[in-house]
Amino acid sequence: MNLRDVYIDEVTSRIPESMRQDVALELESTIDDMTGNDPSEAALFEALRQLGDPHILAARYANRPLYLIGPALFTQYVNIIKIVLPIAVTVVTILSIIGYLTNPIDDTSWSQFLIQAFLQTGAAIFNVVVQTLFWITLTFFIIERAVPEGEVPFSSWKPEQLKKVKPRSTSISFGSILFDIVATVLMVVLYVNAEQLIRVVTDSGSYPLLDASVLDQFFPFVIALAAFGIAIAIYKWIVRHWTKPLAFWNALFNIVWIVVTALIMLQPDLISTEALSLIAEQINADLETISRWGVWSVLLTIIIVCILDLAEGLIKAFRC
Amino acid sequence: MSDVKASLVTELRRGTLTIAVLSQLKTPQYGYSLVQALLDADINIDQSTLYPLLRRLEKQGLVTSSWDTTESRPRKYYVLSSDGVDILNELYVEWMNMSKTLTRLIEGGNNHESS
Repeated sequence: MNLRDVYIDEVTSRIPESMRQDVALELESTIDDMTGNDPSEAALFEALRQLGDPHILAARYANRPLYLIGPALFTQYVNIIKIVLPIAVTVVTILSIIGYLTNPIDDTSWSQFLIQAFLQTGAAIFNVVVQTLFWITLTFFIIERAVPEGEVPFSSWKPEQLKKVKPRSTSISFGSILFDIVATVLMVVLYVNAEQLIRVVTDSGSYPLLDASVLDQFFPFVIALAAFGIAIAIYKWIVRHWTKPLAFWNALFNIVWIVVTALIMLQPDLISTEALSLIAEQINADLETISRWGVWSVLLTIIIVCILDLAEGLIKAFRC
Repeated sequence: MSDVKASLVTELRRGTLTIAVLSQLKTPQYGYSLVQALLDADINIDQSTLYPLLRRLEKQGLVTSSWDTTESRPRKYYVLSSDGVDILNELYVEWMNMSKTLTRLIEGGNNHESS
């Protein structure tokens, strides 16, 4: 087979069968017209160079687009990715964290456990990002080719849509919502598994820091609080910007948070005596002082964080 | 600067390609003779665009094709259909109007008329 026929075959193998023979014949006579009979290789190459890449020529014959997703679909494509990707990443992150924390830790050390959890969560996120992008791209690739030329598959933009656009200064970033959800899940998991996860470790052994029976007492409150927190996060996710009712609910949530944590933390037997005596032994201080300092510094931090969050919502909601 | 000019000229020519091809098909032409005719008129058309374009015009009913096997090598001849003749005439009118409008715009310069 000479190179002219190789070229023709490269083109015709990529176009619909119905036009193959005709295109092949026409290309054959065209190339011969360009080069004359029995051309030198250089003359043939010059002619083929003018006809160009057989892939492109074939695509033009078959009227196939030479792009993945055209301008008519591109903005919709990006919008869908922006909606789906955060949801997928959130779900995977939460599932991965829950999966990791609910598995009892055997004899791996804390640092090993953290590195492993971090790496596996990272891998899970990477995986879901790649999968999401792939399937959305594939879907749009198919839509691009299935829709007849000149038709718009989705409704086009209208000026009326501008009425729904909210000012940027009051919008809630997706990152902060994700942080809220992950933090809530993390807290619940920590709370439920406090006996395994929150421990005082010394050379002579390790003891749970917190007293399990005290924690159990507050279990229903914590679950209700977590549900409240998730509900607020979903509410934020739906409206995506600060509104007065949202700011009000968020403020209420923060106040309930402070109350519940204060109630738990101010329980006199919250910190188990074994753990407390262990710490006291290590740093040579009196039990009462340590527990009071520890409890109040944590509590104060929580109060400050809650008040900041509460204030941010109210300020942004009422400013405009 | 010359790069900018070159790309603007290419863009300008792209839209006139179909009308140039149709104009040469009043008499039957095969692919290579069409390329030569356009080249003689100083229109350098990318051949990987031209042959698929001829097929698209045929599909749209503006040209018809037939194989001529009497010569030394078989050749596919394209010629305007009656629809093609009509379209070419309409495009020609459009072109003349556009050309007139542009001339007026360019030569009129900044002298806005009050009418």
